[in-house]
Amino acid sequence: MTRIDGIIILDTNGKPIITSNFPSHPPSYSAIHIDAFNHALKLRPDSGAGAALPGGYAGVEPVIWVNTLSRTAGESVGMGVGMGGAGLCHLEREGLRFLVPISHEVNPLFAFSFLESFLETLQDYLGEITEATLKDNFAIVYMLIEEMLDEGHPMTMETNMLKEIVLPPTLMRKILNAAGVSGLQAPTTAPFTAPIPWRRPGVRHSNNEIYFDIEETLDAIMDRRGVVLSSQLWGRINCNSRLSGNPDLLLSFTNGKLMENCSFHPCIRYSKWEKDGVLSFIPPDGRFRLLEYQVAGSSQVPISLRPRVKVEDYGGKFSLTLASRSSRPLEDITVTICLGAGATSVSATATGDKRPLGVAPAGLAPGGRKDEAAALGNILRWTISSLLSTERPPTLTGSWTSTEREPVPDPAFNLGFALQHQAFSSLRVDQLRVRGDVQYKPFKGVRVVGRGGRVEVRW
Amino acid sequence: MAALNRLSQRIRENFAETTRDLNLLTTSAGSSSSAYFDTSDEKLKEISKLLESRSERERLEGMKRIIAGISKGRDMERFFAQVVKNVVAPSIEIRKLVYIYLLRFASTNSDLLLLSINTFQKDLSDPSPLIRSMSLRVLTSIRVPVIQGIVMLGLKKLVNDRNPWVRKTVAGGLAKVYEMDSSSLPSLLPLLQILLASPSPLTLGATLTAFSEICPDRLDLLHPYYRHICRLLVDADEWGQSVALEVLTRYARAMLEKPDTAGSAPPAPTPKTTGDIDAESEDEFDGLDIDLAMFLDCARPLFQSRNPAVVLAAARTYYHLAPSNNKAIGQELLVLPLLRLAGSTEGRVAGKEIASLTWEVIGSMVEERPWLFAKHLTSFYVHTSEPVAVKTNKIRAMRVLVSAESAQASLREFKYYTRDPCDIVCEESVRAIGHCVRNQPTIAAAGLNVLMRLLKSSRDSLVAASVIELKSVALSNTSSLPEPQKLVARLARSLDGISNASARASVFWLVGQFAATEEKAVMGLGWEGVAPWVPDVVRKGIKGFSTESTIAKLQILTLAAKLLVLAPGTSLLLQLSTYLFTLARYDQDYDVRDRARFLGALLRGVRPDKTGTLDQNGEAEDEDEDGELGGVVLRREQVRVILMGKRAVVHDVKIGQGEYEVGSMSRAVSKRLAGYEELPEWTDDPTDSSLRDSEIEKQPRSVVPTPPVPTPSSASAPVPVHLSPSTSSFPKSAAGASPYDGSPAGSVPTHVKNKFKDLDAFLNSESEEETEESSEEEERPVQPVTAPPRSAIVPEYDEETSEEESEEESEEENSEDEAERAPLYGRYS
Repeated sequence: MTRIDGIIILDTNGKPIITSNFPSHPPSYSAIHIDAFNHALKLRPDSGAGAALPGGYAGVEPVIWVNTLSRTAGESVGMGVGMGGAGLCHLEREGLRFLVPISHEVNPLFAFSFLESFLETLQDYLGEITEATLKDNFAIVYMLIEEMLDEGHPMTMETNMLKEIVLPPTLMRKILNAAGVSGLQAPTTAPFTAPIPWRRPGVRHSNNEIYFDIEETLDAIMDRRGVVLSSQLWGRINCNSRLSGNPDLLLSFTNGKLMENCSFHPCIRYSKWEKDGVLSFIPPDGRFRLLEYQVAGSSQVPISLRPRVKVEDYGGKFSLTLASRSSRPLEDITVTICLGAGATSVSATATGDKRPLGVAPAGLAPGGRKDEAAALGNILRWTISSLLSTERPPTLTGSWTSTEREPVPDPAFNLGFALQHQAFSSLRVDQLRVRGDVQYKPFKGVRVVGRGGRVEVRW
Repeated sequence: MAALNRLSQRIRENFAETTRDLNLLTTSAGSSSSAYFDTSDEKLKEISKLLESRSERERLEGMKRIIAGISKGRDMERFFAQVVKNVVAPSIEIRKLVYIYLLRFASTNSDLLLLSINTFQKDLSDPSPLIRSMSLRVLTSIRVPVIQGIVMLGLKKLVNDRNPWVRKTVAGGLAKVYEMDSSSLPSLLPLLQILLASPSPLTLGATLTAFSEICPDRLDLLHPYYRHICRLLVDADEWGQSVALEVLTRYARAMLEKPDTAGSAPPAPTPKTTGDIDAESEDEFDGLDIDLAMFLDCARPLFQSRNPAVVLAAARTYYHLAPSNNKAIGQELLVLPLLRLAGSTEGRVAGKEIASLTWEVIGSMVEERPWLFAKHLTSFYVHTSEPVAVKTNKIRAMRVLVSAESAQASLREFKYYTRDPCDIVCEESVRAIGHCVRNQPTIAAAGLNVLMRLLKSSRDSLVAASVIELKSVALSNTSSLPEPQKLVARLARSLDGISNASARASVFWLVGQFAATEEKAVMGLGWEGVAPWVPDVVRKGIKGFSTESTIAKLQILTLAAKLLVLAPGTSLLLQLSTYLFTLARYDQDYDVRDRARFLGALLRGVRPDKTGTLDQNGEAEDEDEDGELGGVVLRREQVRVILMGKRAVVHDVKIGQGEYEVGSMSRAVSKRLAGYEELPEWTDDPTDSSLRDSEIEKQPRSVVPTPPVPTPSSASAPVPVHLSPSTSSFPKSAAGASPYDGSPAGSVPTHVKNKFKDLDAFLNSESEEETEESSEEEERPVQPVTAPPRSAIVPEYDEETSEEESEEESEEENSEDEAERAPLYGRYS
């Protein structure tokens, strides 16, 4: 019984903006959930500490139990009255909260899968998901929910399909509306007749182009000597396709065998991949995630951090040394650590070489580069715009104070960095061939980025 | 005057109208439609005017305001009559809003709604599939018994619709009809069967959803469609896939034969045949129910789905059904995809939440079948930035996974985790260390040291947790440990540094327990062993008695009582205990007073003034007031039994909520949700596979008629194979004979254009392309649709079949393959 009850969208103050219909539940059903959620939000463990860290650890459990005291739930399985309740799945996005109550046994990831594709669709329709855009286009959001959920069962989920049924709010339509030609919907093609669920028929682009973004993320744990204890390398290929007609693409890689444990967009022909290691697909129109993969084996971490931390009464001292192990410049390096509850102030000095391309930034730290060590709340963040392996390793030394007698800072530093034009693995696109009913040569673009995901260095 | 009024109103309206237009134009992203959310009564009155308007735009405006009102929680039911009239509006946009409105209020206003039934009925034959499907949806959503006949007619009419999307709506409708009137089941079943036989993968999900809502227990209905569903599985939409996996898993449990190695038993160590990665031997499904093998094989590609729910569903299927030692369809396949879900959160909208839930599932699986994940221990290492729930799940899983080889590393990890700022995580890791100490002799000593060192920590919770762990270590009969007495002595020595209440209580209890056990065999110290220091522990306890917490007080009392029993004659002890009992007698907490009285009475036979057996200090006790109490006076031995009887100590807290199945929502919330059902146990009496031979497969138009069963070679053990004619005479030759020489980038067949009339046609065309491509200049087959329609997309068995059919070639290919692969693997392993 794969169904969810409905969907509720709350604004930043916990007030509902959009509430879907809960046909098989009492009218108070959504209100109960909203209350329960807001209550749980208030009760959550002090979120001050890690909330701002990447993937911060505070917050409410992703599923909370809500006692709805509903009778409908109990009857169907012959349980006693009053046993009814629901698991409330929720997630946050730009301050908005999306709630999905579930009163029936279901795959636990079902709600989140649904929310993911719901949000992706909304994003596609509205550009950005904010309180204002939701309120502006609430009718569209309602229509979308109506199309996507048939009494809790996912119905039409493909964005391309939906776009034929629910027209996206374009500027053109707004003008037409205002000019009085409203409501006369003239879809170009008859909906529900597309041969491929993920692609609209009759797509036209004046420039035929397709872009692939290969993005690799490295997760690693290093001990204080820089030894990699555990590492995982994840990759994604995002695609932006602007091709006319029904192109049939064949994408091959120079060393595609690196990719393991993949997850595919439904458009990819699985057997071709199994057999030849090439991606054969008819792409959806627009942006989509083509492929996710994992690269097996351990990989080199292109950056190293030598931390020295000493915790004392009411504070502590630290000294950090960064070094690049990569032949290419590392960019957007951030070092973050949560200094524990009660941390009040940090003072630190950074040293390092001058910037290679003499841009003289304002507010220099001693040493002449724009390193910024800022304590936000109780988080120490050190950012460096770029780092070469040839330059003198930048350092940051300083101390912090705390109201706690024995502060408990995080036992590890989080490292963030980006590596432009180079992936961690040696994956490369070999060629893209276009077949199908198209007569053009598309422009192809491939971009590769490597980024540090959850890289941490223990001290 | 009246005329003037009217005029001014007109002008005002006009003005408002034009400015609204301007608003719409100028503030494309502004707050223009916040006007919709203004639901003052005045505005509400306007709505009905708008709905009555002749201008389409105004009616749309009215509908929008109503919807906005609904979302603000205002009562919008009073407009029902006016809204119903708009059902016939030509604009789809208005109609959709009307539908949304009707669906919400239909059940309460059925009489009015009946007025518009005709419109819906008429729309059922609309040329546009969208209108057909939409009207059917509304029709089935109107829960009015009177119109059931009409609804049934509609369903019957559209069940054979050419468009799969419409059929999908029909499937959804079945469940709704059943929900309202369960007696309609007999007439619904034939419709369901028609849908089950539908060749389009699009309807699969909705159909099986309907199945599991209407008649989840009629698994026997699925017999003829089982293989059909298996084959459609790959092409179904993501949401359908996860439903189908669930249904088929239940079917397999109830109808198919259990593989010998399914379940939680780790695989028997088989001689590893390294080097033949490509040895997909023909008997890879040997000994398995052939239909089960087929299902598992068809489900395997779903591990590669982008949809987390599907991956989890596939993992559950494998977890519950798959054998453990099979290379092609073994349980081990579920490990990597799950770790991917749990690990790769980057770039996902709900990545954090999904990861958190997935770790929960993995944690449960690890506990039941640790061998599955044993190789991936490093994936469980905890990142500091992870949420607490994930950390604890990981640590618990690691604790189960600790083996002799990984013991060192695990201990190092656990030790590190005790530095986590979150107390819950620390406690969990201390518990894990305790587990290591008890179960891994190689690191027991090191682990013990870690625990002892934690006693000096400044963090209360850490000290408490480690004392509690030390307690259970001391009580466990692990031979590899240093003598527990010494451990207890060390604990007692560090008593001053321990401030946590329950930790102090544990220490007092432990001291008493170990001091008092006389039999050396049970690791006791006996009085002689403890005499030098145990009374001092009591003294410390008494000294700070008034500041101790209640649980510690209780344990101090117990300790004193135990010592008294142990060494009845020691005057020092008697004095101490007398003082202690007096203190306790006037304690604030009634539990403490009560315990003091109880122990005092219990010890009457032991304390010398009553029995007179030992009267060295008799005069010191004469202030005891309960002298005249009656009752039985117990002898010392009896008291000892009462005070020091063996008590079972629970070592390990069970992970999770074992009562619900792995990977269920009920488990995630640890409450029983409606509709939760245990998976049926494997049947003892599997059904014959001939039941699953069916007409559907023999139809020439059958979708994806790839061979359902990997043909076992003649040499392998006989397996009950029932190949349907279509499968054995499957026209694979073109694709199979030369799968490698056809250039995949063959020229584009020009006739492909403009011929996709519907999905089936499109899918079929795929196969034609494929056939052509590989058989190069060959003539097009005359009967176009015998080939697997989507084989180009997903020809499941291409590889195996082709290997069998052209063994030489494939061997060559494989060896090449391997040669190519070897250096790569070498580099990354």
